[in-house]
Amino acid sequence: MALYGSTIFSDTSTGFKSRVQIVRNNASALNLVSKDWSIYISGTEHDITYASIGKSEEQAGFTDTLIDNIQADIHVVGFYTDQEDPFGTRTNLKVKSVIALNIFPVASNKEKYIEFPKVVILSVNILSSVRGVVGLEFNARSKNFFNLPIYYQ
Amino acid sequence: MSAVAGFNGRITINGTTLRANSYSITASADLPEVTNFESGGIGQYIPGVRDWELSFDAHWFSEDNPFRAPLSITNGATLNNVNVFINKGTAGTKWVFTTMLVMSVDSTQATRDTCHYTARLKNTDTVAVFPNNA
Repeated sequence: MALYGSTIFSDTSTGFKSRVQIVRNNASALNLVSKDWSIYISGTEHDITYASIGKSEEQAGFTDTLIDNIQADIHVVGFYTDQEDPFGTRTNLKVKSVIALNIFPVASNKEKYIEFPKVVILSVNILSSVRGVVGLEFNARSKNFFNLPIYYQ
Repeated sequence: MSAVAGFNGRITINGTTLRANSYSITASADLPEVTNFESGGIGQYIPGVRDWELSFDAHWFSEDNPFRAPLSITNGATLNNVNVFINKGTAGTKWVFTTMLVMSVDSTQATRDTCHYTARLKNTDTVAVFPNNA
């Protein structure tokens, strides 16, 4: 699924302009020190093909599908920093936590972002290597609705 | 401040002086990349693991074969207390590598040249003293 295209942005945007933001109650939004994100939107597929008896000639012999239970799976790759405890109450990146995320394909375009009012943290991965850096990744899944203005506009 | 002539250099390994012609020390550091969405399009890095490598060129002398003890400069060998002097006349102007491993030894011989060899060593322990004016 193309989240943005030539109808929204005049040309392909570079990734470094992105931003992942945690929206917090009674506090300013936190811009995560992150370097990759991906959003996978999917739904549950139901095969509603029925017997050709009674179908019109055009319908007979073709599959029909119903999609429901639309969800977004979010994967963010970032860095562990000692500036703010990512598992503390302000950031709350803990498994089972429900947080709000805003993901900006282009941070300077403040109106066109993907808004997740509620996502549940499915997994958190902290990783380190002696010649690398301490990384922090998490997977989250949407709860209820989410807004994709960059796609639907 | 005055420059130092190259011939004043010296390499010793565990107290034994090596008959080296030239040496080169490469001090390097890993720079893990931490560029992120908040970096404003500029690559960012942090200092990581530091490495030191010593390479030197030396003549081969039959009376003190460097490939045998006490120097034993052979591939994979562990060499302790490697001292590399900028000026052998001034005690403090040296690097002291507690332990180095021999990465490679290249021996060369030609009709109109001496039998000589080049060795590459990698530091694997404390670097005790950096060059100073002590």
